[in-house]
Amino acid sequence: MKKTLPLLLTFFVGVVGAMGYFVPAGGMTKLSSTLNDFGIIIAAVAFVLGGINIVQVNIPIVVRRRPDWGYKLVMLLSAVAVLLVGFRLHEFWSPAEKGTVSVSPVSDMLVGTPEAADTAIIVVDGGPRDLLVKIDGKTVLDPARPGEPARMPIRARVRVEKDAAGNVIPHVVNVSDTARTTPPRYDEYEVSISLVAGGEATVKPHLTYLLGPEGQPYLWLFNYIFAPCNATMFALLAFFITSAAFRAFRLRNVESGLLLGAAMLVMMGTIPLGAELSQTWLYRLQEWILSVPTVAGRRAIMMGAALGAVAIGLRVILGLERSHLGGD
Amino acid sequence: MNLQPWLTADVVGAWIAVFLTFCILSFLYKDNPFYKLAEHLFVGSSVGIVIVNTYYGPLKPNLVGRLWDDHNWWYIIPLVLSLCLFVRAASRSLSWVGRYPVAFVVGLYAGINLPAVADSNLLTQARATASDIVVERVDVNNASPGKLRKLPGFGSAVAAKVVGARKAIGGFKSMGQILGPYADGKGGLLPQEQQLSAPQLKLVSYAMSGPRGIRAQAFLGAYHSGSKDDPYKPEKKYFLFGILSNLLMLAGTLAALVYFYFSVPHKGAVGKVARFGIWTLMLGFGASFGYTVQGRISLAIGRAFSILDKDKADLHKNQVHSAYVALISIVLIVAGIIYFERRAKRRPPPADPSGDGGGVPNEELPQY
Amino acid sequence: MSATPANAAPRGIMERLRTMDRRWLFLCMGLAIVLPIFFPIGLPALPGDATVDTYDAVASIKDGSRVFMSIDFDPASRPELEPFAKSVLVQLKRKRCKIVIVSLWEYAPPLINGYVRSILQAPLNPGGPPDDPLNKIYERKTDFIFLGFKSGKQAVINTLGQSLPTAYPTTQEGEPVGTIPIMEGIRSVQDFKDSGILILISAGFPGAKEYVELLSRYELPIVVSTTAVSRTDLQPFYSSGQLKGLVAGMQGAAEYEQLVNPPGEQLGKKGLDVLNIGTLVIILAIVLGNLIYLAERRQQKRAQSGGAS
Repeated sequence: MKKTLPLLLTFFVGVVGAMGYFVPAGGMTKLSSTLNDFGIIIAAVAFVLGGINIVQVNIPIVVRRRPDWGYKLVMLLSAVAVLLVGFRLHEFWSPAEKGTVSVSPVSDMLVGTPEAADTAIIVVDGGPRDLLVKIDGKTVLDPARPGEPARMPIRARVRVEKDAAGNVIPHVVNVSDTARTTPPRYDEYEVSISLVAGGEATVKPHLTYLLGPEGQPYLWLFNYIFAPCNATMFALLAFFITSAAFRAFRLRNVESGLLLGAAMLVMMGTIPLGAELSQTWLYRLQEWILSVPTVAGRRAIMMGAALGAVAIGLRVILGLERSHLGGD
Repeated sequence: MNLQPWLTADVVGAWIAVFLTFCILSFLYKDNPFYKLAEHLFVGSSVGIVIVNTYYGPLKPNLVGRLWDDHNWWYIIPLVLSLCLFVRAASRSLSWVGRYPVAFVVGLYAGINLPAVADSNLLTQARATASDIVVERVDVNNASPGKLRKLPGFGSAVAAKVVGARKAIGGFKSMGQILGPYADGKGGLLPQEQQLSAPQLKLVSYAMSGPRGIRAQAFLGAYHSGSKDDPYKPEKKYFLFGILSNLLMLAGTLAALVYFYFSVPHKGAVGKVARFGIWTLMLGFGASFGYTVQGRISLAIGRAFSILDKDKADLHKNQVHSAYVALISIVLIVAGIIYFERRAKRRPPPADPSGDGGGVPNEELPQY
Repeated sequence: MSATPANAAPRGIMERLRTMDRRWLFLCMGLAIVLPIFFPIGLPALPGDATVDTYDAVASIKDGSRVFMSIDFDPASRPELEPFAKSVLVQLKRKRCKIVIVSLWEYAPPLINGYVRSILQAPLNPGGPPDDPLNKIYERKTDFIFLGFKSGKQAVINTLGQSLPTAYPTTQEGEPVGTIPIMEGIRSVQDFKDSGILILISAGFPGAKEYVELLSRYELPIVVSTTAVSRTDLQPFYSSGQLKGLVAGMQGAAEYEQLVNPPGEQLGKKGLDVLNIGTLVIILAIVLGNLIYLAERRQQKRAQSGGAS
């Protein structure tokens, strides 16, 4: 039970995985792709488990104030911060309605004016003041600042028109985040309003600040905390390879001489300076080194490794290799 | 592109990014608290990113969605196997439960890789090594565009133009008629699809010469209409350098395979062949090292561009001023390192809680 | 035998160089990276055969075709792969191609969304003619779709070759893949064989090598952009014809940028200047290190032969 069943499982899954290669028939393809999908899911859970394990290992260090506990606390806090802004938690508290509209047939602003015959007022107020408001596809602009979008609260006068059948053509009000922020900080609210001449509609958007993998906070942490650290960690290698090249790359024998020579030729040949100085001879030479001896050597390694992979794969599938199952 | 100025949060973020970059670069001097801070921020944020992306990428659509929305109950199998992984992590006595998902995954990947690797890495590579030893030179006056584009400096656009040109003039009479435009920049032929600058044209014309250049790989058969009544048969000539290269590739591959064959002692003739094999491998490793070096330098170049605002539009450069932030960061970090070093010198070494001179390890002492 | 005064000075220099603090080397490399940014040389790249083949393969697909892209890299590999990623998206946009994007690396999605926003969903030639394809704003689900990240490595790739909807039942926003217009008629990556191309941008494992191993049986047209480190690993696939093109490292990406000539900043070409000098510093370090080593060996041999006599 503890070892036999897992071995049978390995055999079954391995055979199906291999048969999927040879038998492109519908049933086998479906079975093979479904098992592959199971593998995708288990691999994903293993990722999550790894993350949980890091938290599990470091919490006792922080709690017991072991050396470097401060750094571990920073690590845990940054993980928690990313998790809090990375999941779409706003879906739990965002209102069912993204906004409300109240319509009045009489507008205080228009009453008694000649404009009341064919216009109406739309008021938009609610949420951050720098949200972008569009009415019928056109951005509402600030009359005091030419070309700039108006800031809330907005009072806009619109024409009331009817179609050929005599129905009032509704106006579409869209409230969204400004184009300055990509991706948007808030979700979008769009509503269609039918107004009578001289009337007024008040739109109150209740936009939710977006979290999740496409949200601004998550991307901020990714772009300004994770990405520079990730890139710089690897950038350190440029310096270490200089030191390694100085200290360790030694011309000891024929083999190391060939390695050194090929490395220098390839390095000089690939850079434009080398191509220019050598009138492209170095460039052509490094292309030849890359396409003939390198391919020859790599092919031999690949073929040898392929034979090894086939042998190990067969051993695993047939249950001759059991090290992955651990001891009893 | 219509650029918008960055929000304040993004500007501050860019400053923090520069500061963290120098925190990590300070490791080149020595390990220090700034580096440790940045390192732990990096590890923590990467854990969060992995979990978020793993949930929304594979877990939610492939597992949660299938069970909750589609009611595909077969997906209880991976759910149970995944729970087995958690049980294994949580309980020592029940750790055998974790064998099932491991067995599944190991078997699956063995099954997937076995035929794929055998075909792609073994059979296809062996076929490619053994085939096409003989290489013929390209007859510029008769070759198809597909063959012409294999010539150095050609591409689809040039090949198409050469075909057009040879039809127009009734066949090239000399290599100069094809190569001329590369030398002086005039003429109707454009390498690739854009006009090259003078230095580029010079480089391309140099590339045409040499043992792998066009003069070695092409020849001029007389132009003919291609009809079956046309008696002219252009003389086939062979690309000697190409043939030698292919022979060397075959010999090198076989010799390297002999090197990896350890069932026979590497003595005598076998030893000599194995030696040639190792020389072939060394040339390949040298090329690999050369590329690795350039790859590593490229990573540092990216950071340098970022710190010096070379990767930002002018509008954003004027908001961020990364160079000033870099100077301030360097001053802060240098001052901080000096402070921490002086503090470490002034502090007495930590007392040994075990009281026996430190010979016995104590769980309270740092293990890392 | 005691050292003569004439021998003492060179031995001192060699000894000093041999035991030099490696931080001086770090400083030299730092200067080699920073100074060329201010004093560029400006030499152009000479596009290699593999890069030209990649460009040709993408250029030869029909305008309006559907293209499959797998973008698998993290911020660390951006300098080497981002110039190609941006250039090829511009090239595809010029050809009005429709693009299906997936990813096997968990750190790639924010980068991919950034390229989508800045290239596919932005006008790239605002002053140009209105029907310039570079100014088209790509619509999600009809002109492009980013299906998201999947873990599982080879299992994902294998599933893509057999049944794409099994690997990607929905997008990350929860939309069933079968309802997306651009995915109509696509059961697997084999459906990109005749009209399109597979473009793989990969920084390591899982990536191009696994794609080629698992999908080469379908004889798909695949081009790859990879880091310089992986160039030699993928060269055999290119030589055998399993790959139609191969662009490697910042060098290759700069060559590709030169061929495509995308609007805006061309960081690959700028990076080449720095690469020139940085590579020279490494070569000098190797040469110097070996000179020191050879001088030491000579001194040891002299000391041994002096001791023997």
